[in-house]
Amino acid sequence: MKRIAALLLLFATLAGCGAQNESETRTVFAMDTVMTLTAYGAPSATGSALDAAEAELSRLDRLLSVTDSGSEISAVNRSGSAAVSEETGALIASALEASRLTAGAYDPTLGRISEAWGFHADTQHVPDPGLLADLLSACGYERVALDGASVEIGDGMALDLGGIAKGYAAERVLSVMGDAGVDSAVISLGGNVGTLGQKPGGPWRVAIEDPDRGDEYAGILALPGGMYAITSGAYERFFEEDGRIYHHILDPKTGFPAESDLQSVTIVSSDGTLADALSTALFVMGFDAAVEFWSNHSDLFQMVLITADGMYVTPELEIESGRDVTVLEAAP
Amino acid sequence: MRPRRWEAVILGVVILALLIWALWPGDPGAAVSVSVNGQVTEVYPLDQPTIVSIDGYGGFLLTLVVSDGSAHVEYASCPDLICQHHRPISSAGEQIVCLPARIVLTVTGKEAGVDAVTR
Repeated sequence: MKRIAALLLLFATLAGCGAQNESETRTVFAMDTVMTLTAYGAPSATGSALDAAEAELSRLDRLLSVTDSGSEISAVNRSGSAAVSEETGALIASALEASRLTAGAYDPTLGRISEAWGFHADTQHVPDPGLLADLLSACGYERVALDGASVEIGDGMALDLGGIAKGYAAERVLSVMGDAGVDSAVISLGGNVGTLGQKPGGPWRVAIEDPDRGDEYAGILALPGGMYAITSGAYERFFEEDGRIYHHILDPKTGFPAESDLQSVTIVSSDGTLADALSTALFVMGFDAAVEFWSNHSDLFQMVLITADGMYVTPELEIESGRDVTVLEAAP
Repeated sequence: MRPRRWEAVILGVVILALLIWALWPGDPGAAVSVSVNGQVTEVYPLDQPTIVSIDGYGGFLLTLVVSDGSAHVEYASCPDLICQHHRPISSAGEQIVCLPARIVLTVTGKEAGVDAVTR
C-alpha cells in the first residue's frame, strides 16, 4: 500500500511540474492595435491576471488616446491648457525628458502634423507643404509647460503620446499582472514586447521582424525578465501616393516621414517608456547618430539596427540570426 | 516481500501511463489558429490545403488559404488590405493581423521558436 501511495505521490508531483509550465494567452484589441498577453502559472492566477491586464489597457486607452475626445490628452489639445491626473502628468514629463535626451529627435508635440497626414484616421495623404510648414512652426517640445499635473501647450500644437504610450502601457500591464500573482509573463502590444520574470525552461525568445519581410525573422533575442524590446521601422505603417512611399515615422525637423538610412531600430531596455521613445528617435537620427547616441548612453539601453547592408548589435545582447551580424563598439 | 498481484497490475498501468505520457508525440504539427475578436474560432493544419472564408468584426471578412505548408490571406474586404498584402506565414509564432476585422491568424505548433515578435 505504501508503494502505491509513493507512486501516486510521484505521479502527482510530475503532473504538478506540468501545471507549472501551463500558460494562458489572450488577444486584446486596444490602442488601435492587436495585443497578445501570455501568463504562465496556475490557471486560477493567470485568468485573473489577464482580466486585470485587459482592464488596465482599456483604462490607459481612455486616458491617453488622441482620437478619443474624452481622453485627458484630448482635453489638453482642445483647450491649450488643462489639469490632468498625476499619472498623465508624469507620462508627459517622461515624454519631455526623452525629447531633451534626444535633442528633439523624439517629439510628442507633432499631433497636428500626424493628423494632417491622416495617420490617425486612416485617411492617409500627403498634406499641402504650406499647411505643413505652418503646423510645424507651432510644434516643439520646448513649448510645453508642465507643472505637476497642470499642462499648457503652445498655440496650434497638439500633444500625441503615441510614441511612448505603448511602451508605458507594457510596463503597466506587466505590473498589474505581477500584482495579480503571476510571476512569469510575456506580452506584445502591437509588437512592443515586454517580459516579466523568468520563462519556465529558459530565456524569453523575442524575434525581430525582418523589415523586408523576406525571411521569417531578422534574428531572435534571448532576453531575461523585466526587459522591453521595442522596434520602429518604416515598414510598419505606410501608404503610397504618386508612386512614392510615405511611412508614419515623422521627422520633427521637417514634418515629413524621416529619410532614414535605417530599416528598423530595436531598443532593449528595462525602461519600456524610454525604449519606445528611443526606437522612434534613433530611427529619425539615422545610423551614425544612433550609434553615437548609444555610445553616450549605453547604460540606458541596448539596440539592434538593421540597414540595407546588414545588422548591427550592441555587445551585451544575445542574438541568434542567420545573417552577418556586426557587433557595435562604443566610441572611446 | 513480493508485491501482490493487484499491486503489480497497478504498477504496470502507472508505468504504461507514464511511458505514453512521455513518448506521446509532443508536436501536434504546425497549424494556423484563427481568432476573431480575441476568441479562437478554428484551427487548420498547415499540411492540409484549405480555402475558407472567415467572418470578422464589423462585417468584414477575409479568405484564408492554406497551401504548401503556409497560410495567407487571399482576399479581404477591409479598407487597408494590410493582411492581404502580408507574405505567407509558416513558422510557429508568425501572425497575420487584420485590425478592422479583428482577425488574427497565428501559426501554432510545439516547436514554437519564439515567445513574441517585436516589430
